[in-house]
Amino acid sequence: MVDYAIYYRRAIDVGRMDKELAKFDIFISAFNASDRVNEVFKGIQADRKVWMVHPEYQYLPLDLPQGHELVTPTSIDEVAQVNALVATLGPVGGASLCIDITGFMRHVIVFLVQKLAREGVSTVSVVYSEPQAYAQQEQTTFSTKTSGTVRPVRGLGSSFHSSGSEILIIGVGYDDKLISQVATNKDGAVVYPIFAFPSLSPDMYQQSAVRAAASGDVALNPSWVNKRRFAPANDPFSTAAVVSSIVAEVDRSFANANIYLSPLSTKVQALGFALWWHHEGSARGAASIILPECLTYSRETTTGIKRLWEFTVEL
Amino acid sequence: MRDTQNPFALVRASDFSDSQINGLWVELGSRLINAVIEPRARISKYILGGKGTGKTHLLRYHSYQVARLRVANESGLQTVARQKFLGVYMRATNVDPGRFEPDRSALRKWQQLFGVYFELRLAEDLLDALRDIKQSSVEAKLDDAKLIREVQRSIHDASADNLTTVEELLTWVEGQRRGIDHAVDNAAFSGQLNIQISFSIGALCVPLTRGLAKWHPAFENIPVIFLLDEIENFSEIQQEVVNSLVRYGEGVLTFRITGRLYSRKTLATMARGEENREGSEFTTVELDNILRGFDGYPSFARRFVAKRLISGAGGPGSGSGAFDPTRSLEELDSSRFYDHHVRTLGLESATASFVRAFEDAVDSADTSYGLTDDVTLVVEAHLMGSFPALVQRLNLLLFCKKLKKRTNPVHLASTIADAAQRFVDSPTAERRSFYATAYGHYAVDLFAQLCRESRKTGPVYSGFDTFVKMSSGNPRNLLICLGRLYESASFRELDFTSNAIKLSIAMQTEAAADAARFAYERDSNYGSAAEPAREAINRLAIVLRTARYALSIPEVSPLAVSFSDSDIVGASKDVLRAALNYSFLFEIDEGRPDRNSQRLMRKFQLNPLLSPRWGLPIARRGDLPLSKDLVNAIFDPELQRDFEAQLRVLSQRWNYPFSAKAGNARTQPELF
Repeated sequence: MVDYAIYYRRAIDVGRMDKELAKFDIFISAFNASDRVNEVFKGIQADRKVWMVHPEYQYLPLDLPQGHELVTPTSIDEVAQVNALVATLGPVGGASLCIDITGFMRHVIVFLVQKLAREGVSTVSVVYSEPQAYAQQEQTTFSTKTSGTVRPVRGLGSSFHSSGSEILIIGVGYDDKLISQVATNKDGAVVYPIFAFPSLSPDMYQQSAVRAAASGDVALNPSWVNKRRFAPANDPFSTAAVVSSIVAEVDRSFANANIYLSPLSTKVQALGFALWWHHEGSARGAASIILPECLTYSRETTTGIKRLWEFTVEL
Repeated sequence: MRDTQNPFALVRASDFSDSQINGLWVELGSRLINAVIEPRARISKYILGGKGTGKTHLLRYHSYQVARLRVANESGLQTVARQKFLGVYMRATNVDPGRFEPDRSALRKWQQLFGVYFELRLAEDLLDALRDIKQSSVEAKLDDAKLIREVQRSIHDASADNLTTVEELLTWVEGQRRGIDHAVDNAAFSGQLNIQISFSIGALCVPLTRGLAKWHPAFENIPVIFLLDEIENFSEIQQEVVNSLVRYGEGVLTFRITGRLYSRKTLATMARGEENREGSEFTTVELDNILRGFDGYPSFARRFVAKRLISGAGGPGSGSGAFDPTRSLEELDSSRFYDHHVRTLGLESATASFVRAFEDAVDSADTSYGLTDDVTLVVEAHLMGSFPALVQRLNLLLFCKKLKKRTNPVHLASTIADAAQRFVDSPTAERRSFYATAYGHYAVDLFAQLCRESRKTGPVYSGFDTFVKMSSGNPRNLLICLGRLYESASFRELDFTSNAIKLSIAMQTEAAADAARFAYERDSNYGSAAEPAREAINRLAIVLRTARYALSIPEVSPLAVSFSDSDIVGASKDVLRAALNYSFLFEIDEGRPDRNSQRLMRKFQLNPLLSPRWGLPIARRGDLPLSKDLVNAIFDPELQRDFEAQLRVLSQRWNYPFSAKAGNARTQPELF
């Protein structure tokens, strides 16, 4: 079991980010209309700044920012998106790399972590900016259109036991429809919901609980309450540790358990799930990360910027 | 709050252990079940049905693993002999089919790989059953070598040459599957799919199944049936693989394939092969239709509920088996014109409201109706009299429906009042009168109007039979209702399952509304196709609600609509199909030609589980005919404004029956 407590994380004063953060060789961020994404892009010091433009946001060429490198994949598939990014970056060996995951799509974050590891990147700085609030509190819509398909993130499908018990670990966020789709897809699974707590702000926990309660029959299942776990909304390492402890518990209770993880909460928690898979899940086997296919996504879901975090991810 | 587990929780068949599948099985009748699954038929079959119609339970019940547990101390071979078939169960999601379509430009290559992988999973599950048969049938002479030789002939891989036992073959199959798993994962990073395929599609399961008779003579006439669950999770090209196995399975590969109503995406076989044909390569049965038309459903529902309590998720009353749900739920007392409820629910206040609606209608009346102020006073005096509230309301309705331009209003009102008086004085003697017929038709709707207009309660839903009707033959829907009721009762420290108390009508109504909200808002997240269907259902229900609560109700118990098949066009067609697929709507029967125009008319009913959300009835009587414009305004997501305009026209027509200009909208749309 990995001790995730030793990984480096710190809060950055937003007004002093140019001083508190080192200058990077390459900085990557996913473009959207949120203040927090654009402020951080402006404030961070880097030799190269690259905008990743996810097709899910459906930006027209006229809407795109000027003055920096753009990566504009046309397919929503994570392999195509990450390959386009990697092709734009070129060889990154030895370069200091910083990624703002705030606007990234979850499936791209998860695949990117594994891809970077395969490309030989051993350390990457990840930043995440917390919002002041979600634009419409518990009514905020994130994914606006889904295909109805739930599938493993490419490369993280794993090989499962043919007759093992199925365990579904869900990172619970505001998107009740996504939770419902995942739970329906794995409807024979024992569900372990991980609620984001402490949340980014006190009211957000209640808002996510209200939204999650609307997730269909999974929220009526006794396991929704008695298998509930908590992980901080803004800490990928603690999230990975919670996933790790759930899997350890599962492995004590079930022989040949097949683990499905679905990070539907904050991007930070998605990173935490990806880190667990990288450090433990791939070696354990019979563990994959699954997500509903989002065709479109809201460009602006938050207001303001409250805090900025830097996480040093070691792969 | 009582600390008990809800015995009506939505535990799905996929959550049950093998022994629970047996324990919770409630027989619909062996003839009906056999007609659905036809376990010995050598032709493949699709069993389609909405969420909760019991598809998974049905398949798992017929699987070898579950059948083994039904008789203690039985060997696997004895189980197969008793069953007279060998059922192998697999969920479509177990192959994680989404992994097999990463590259749209090479779909055929990935289709081949998926086909091989799918067949490996089928073989793995079959071999797992054979291994169990072998282990549990120690006396039997099972010839592994002959079986393996049959399979080896079609495998082009040296690693399979030295296999000699079922166990070794199973290990080899698992190894092949894991090899594909790793190759697919690696392809995401390398862009290369490095895998050696050791057999062609069909070349593993066909010889394996055919070889069983050589393994042991007991399999001579035993069909192997692959029970494939939730086929909707396979894409179109993946379903082509299944269709190819169905078509070219040489009579030895037989499937029972379950899925939602929308699950079947293609009938084509691989490589642009021929399409499978209904009746030739496969048959289809729709469970929803069977269950909705199943006369024994009410008694099934009672046994189903009792079984839930006995099998017990630990709820009170579990173990007794004597729980009778009808005795725990207060029912509406319709005697004496619902007098008891008019008093206890305080519905007298509704009178002023419906009289005001009548007077509004009279105010806007065309002068040719002769409804002057003086005349109206006399008419009202006749119709209202000292009748019970429900009769007063019926009198107004009949007056609205019967008044024509050349009719004498006072005479008509007097005639209605006389008939009402005779009916009130002696309902039995007057049971054949027009008034009794009208009362029989409209009483439920008018009582709902009283409830709504009184503003002290909404329309009420109560009684076990009501919940059974709301479930429309779908046991899961029944659980949704009872689960809500149980929760509500538990919160109030009431023991719903003891038969010692009756849960109030108000509590039942609240549970019905909760169940409807759950079904409409939370239980229908199927991706983007469901959203326009949900909105269309909202519009349709608003039309039905406008009809039910109108002064001059246009149709008795409006829950169904009809329209010509040729009238629905463009995007509306897709949305209608989605509404049917997601069980928001039921098609009542096959299209029938209109008597006058000979056009094909189709009839649809709102799922009554949703009814409480809009205060609609749970049983249908007539059907509301929809015009071409209206039906498209309901089902086309882009026609919201048209819909609002059409709704205003309908509301005008149904609430102002004497108005000269039915199209002159007076109502405020936001009221609807």
